[in-house]
Amino acid sequence: MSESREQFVDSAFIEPDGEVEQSIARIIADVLAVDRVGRTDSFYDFGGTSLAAIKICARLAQERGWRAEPAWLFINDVVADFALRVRSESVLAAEA
Amino acid sequence: MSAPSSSQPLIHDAVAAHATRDPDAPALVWHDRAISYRTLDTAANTYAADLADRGVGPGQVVPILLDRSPEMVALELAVLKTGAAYTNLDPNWPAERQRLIIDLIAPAVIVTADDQWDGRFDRYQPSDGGIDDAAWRARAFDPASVPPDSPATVFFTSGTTGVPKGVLSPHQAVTRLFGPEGLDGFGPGHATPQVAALPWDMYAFELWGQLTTGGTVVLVAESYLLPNTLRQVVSRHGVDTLWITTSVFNLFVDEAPDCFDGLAHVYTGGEKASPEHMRGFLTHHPDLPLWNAYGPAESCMITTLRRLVPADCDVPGGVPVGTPVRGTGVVLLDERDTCCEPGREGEICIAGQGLANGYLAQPELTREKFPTVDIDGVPDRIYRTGDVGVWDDDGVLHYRGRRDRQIKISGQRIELAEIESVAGSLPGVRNCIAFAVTDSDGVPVRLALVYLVPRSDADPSGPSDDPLRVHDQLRRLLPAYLVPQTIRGLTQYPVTANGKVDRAALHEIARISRPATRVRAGRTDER
Repeated sequence: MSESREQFVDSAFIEPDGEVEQSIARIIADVLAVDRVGRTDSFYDFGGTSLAAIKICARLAQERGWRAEPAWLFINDVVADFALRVRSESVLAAEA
Repeated sequence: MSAPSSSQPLIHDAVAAHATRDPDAPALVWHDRAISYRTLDTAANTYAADLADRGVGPGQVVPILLDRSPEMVALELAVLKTGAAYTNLDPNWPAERQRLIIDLIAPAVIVTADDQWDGRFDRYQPSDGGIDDAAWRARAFDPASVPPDSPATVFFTSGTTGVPKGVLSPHQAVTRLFGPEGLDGFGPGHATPQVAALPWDMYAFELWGQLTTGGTVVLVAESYLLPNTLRQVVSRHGVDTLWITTSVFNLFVDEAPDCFDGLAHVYTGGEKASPEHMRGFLTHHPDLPLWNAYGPAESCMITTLRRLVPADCDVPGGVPVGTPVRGTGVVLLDERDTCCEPGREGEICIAGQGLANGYLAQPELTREKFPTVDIDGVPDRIYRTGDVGVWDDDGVLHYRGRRDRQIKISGQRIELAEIESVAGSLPGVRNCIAFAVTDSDGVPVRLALVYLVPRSDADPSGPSDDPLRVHDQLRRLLPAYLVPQTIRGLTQYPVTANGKVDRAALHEIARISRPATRVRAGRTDER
């Protein structure tokens, strides 16, 4: 059972943009049990913990094959920022 | 209860013995590169000589403020060789908490790579060349002669008064678990990932378990183990023995049960086990030994252990925590300090070689928690855990809960009173209550703080009633795992019909409400 996003945040919902943001927003919503998560929403808005961050990163790897570290989410806690980090780290890894 | 009294080796002696016996064997793996026992021990001697030049020696505690790395392990060994004890301070802790702990220690020397270090204490900065450079310099060093019950390391844990508790643990407390008659999965040919938080006692388990027996430790650069990281260290580096905190274990069983493939020994604990997840694991991996561990840091690393069988998951009251490990005794005492027979609940009290020397710079608390009591007419030093347990007829221990308000989230021991003590001292907080928000199974998942804002007549300026401000101040004073995720300022507490604070209503306020934590820049988190 999930809670409504609007119980946690005042700001308007902005649709996640592109495949990475959409996957991340959906997984964060699943893990933190809210109905939807927008691109400007923060992981912390919905009570994100370190364990939730591990779960989110595990699912990103499992479902999409993307590498992400829980520590990134603590710093880049907004969906769009985290998506950018995941994309840029994968580019760096490909070049290495 | 019995606690064998055979003498245990010193940590650094055990490591050095393997360096002599098989110098080219891999001691550490770091970023896919193996570091031999010879390199590790030679580097440790160099660092030890450097530290001794600066006056480090027996009876001292040396704080180490470094990120996980091979140099860090060599420096820990170096401190031990000088006869002193090391303590790992997490570089992610707030500066204020680091200062508090360092003041408590008042060290002769601090090991840090930080150029900006304020310089109240002497600083030892290892060279940029890392462990290879230290091994190349190869200074000779004769280790100080200290007994096995002399302090080796200090673990910091949450304290009720707002001051972190430093648990001072001796060499024997670490080495008692390992060696010829020790735990399965340690020694030549075995490998363990090191990912536990640096100040925690299970860091010692992951690290010294293998290094004192000739095995290999794979240092994981990330702060958290993920299923994919586990798969990688198993396939690339032959990891076969794993320690994993209960809540992360549960998560892996839910998300990726196959990530345990290739392991030969799994140890889990730190929180009350979830029967459902244990069952899920045993169904998926019927031949992979799964051990449920119990034990506070005051009896180093593990106190009791149980190799789980499917029937354990159906035991009413929870998965058993097992029988005492080597060199460790457990008694259950009632209010009059007499031993409880099977079936009767009592406080879990621990004796033996695993016991800490005491709390750093807190002699009164040490006397209170580590008293000497008569057990069956024989005086013995014990640690009073505050945990409640019961023996079954087979001599197996079952955990029943806490006598006080200590809780665990993700394996982290949390004293709610510490959070209240720190939060209560902030301007704008008249009174506060810290508590855990639980999930539908009653498992604590995150922290909440509700507080009473100043009465408007008492404090007309009143900007400090802002929960965000309270959160911000707490972040400067407490490590991330002690900072409540949800903070709410109230003008009064909800009360029940008979005038007591309504705990259920508080829980509801914290469960669905806007968390006060919209915190961005430079935020870090550690366990």
